[in-house]
Amino acid sequence: MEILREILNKFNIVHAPFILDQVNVPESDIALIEGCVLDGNQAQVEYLKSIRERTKKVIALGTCAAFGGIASLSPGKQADPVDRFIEIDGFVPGCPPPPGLLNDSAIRLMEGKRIVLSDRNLCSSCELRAENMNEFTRPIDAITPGTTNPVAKQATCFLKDGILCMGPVTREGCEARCIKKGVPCEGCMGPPSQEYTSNVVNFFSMLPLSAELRDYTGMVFRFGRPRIRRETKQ
Amino acid sequence: MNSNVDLCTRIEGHASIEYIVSKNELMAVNFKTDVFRGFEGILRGKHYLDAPRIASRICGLCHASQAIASTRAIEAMLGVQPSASARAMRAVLMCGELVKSHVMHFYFQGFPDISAVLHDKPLGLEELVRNNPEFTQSMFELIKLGKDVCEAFGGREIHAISPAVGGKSFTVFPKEINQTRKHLEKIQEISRPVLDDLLEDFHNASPAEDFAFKNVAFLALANEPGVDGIYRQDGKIAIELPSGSVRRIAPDGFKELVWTEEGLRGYETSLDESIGLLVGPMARARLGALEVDDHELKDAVARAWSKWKDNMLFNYALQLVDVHESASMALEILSSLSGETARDQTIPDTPPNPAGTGIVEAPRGTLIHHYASGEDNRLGEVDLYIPTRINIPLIDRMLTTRCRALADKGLAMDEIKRRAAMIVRTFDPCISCATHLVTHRP
Repeated sequence: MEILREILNKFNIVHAPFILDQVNVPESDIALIEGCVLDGNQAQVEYLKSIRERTKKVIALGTCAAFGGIASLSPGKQADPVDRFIEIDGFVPGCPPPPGLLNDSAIRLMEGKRIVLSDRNLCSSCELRAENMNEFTRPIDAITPGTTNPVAKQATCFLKDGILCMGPVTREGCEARCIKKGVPCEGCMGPPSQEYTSNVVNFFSMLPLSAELRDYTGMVFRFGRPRIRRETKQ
Repeated sequence: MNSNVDLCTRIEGHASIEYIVSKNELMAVNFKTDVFRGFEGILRGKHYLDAPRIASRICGLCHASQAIASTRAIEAMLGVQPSASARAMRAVLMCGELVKSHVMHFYFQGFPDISAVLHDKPLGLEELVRNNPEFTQSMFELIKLGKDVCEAFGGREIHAISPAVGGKSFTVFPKEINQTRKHLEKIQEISRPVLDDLLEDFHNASPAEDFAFKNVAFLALANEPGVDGIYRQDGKIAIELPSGSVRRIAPDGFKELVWTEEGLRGYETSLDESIGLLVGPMARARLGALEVDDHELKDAVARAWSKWKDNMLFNYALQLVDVHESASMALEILSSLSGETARDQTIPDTPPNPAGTGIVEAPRGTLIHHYASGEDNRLGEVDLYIPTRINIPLIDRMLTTRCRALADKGLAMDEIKRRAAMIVRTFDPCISCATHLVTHRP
């Protein structure tokens, strides 16, 4: 809320249907766009285009706008990021975007600078990062920790503990808040690079995944689908 | 027959109001949500320990309610009871969510309309911020306090990660409990004078005809009189009919009252077609779930309630009552928290029950997740009952009735549209939640 106050002090909000009655899209300096486009919805695409035509800088805010988001899991539906339809000038990933990154990005935008994101994965700054990340002594067969062995706090790398964590193929920048609370990474910050599919293939080829998890479609493309996707069992 | 569709502004999400005109006569007015995300389809086939994390993504405002309803449905399927401590933690998290959600709606979306109706002073956002700096400051602080409570008890300010099947993902430590206690006390301190002024304003005004309703049934998860339980988590499904009679049903028998069929705009109910169904703070107050302890506040609510109980504009006042009283109840609950290990229960390998129902009162009303057990620890069929969708038939009925009456009086279409949007906003519709209908079955 502090940053919203600062934004209200420095900028005029000219279009925000959530809080303003203004319906038409006026000329503006910065547009922050949330949400994905579902099934190429024509009204949404036209809306995006009208924003792009009238705005100097367009930023995709959040993982839905940046990668398609959770609706990517919807069977029979196509959730696309906004850059599928218009050119963007940057994005702030996360579901939700982490407060630190959001504040930094807002300040940079107010100063007329580009948004800066790390291109490293979450493991690079994770306090549970293990040595020998490519050696696993136990199969990975769980998606949540401790259901049969309650622990006060996760002390070792989830992957080493047999629990699927998407940290290795997820961009850092969230301060590993879920991991610090004992919950493995779901990957909501999105991929650290454009080569997500090959990264995921490499990552999963290293892991001793159980057959059940190997077939599980809930995790790998949870926050965005690649443009070409092989059919997998639901 | 012509259809004229206008974007409905100052609501949560993207929706429109459709005006259907035939031979220059306004025939019907409908609230339209036309983007369907299909969360039932998303959840179907997912591992039952993974579902709450996904369900949380249904909505950025009532994320905790969605995650907790999902968790409870799976716990019912597995025959697992979370500990008192886990339930208390969920209650405090739901309080933080409610404070943030209700205050955002009240300040950004409701207050300009309240000012227009009660004081004949329409307000834009800029005027609201510039002309009311102290009020604005207090509203922003309440939103931040709600967010901080969510962060402490949910692990993140949005899309909580603490609700876990069988208990909770992490333990809240004494330092965070003490900090949250201060936050909750501050929420009460800030909201009370605003609430007192608002109730006085309502008491001094005549009920606005645009927002009046009749022949409505109210539905909420509510404890029976004299029975203790956690607000918005415990109780039976209670329904008050227009006659005043109240019926109570065990949560897993909810389909006696309300059920879904593919393609419907709202839900099918066992009620007569002429009766509208309403969920949310109005229903919670009506059915005794939302109780006020403080005598002075109780009297002030009762005074205003006696004039406005059949009027949706009063929903805004009840949202603030909800904020104040939820903080009070969360403070009581905090004292029952203890430092247990993270997860409280052993989860059975195979669900003993073929289906499970999880019901909570989300800020906007009764939220039901109903899951059938599938193969290999995955969910089978999934049904979600979302407050905004339950309210949509009543919204449509009120819009059509009132807009036609205003057209008969000769009001200009622009004025009718302005007032129609105000009717919609009183319901605090959440389009993120409402756009969930299944359009694809395997």
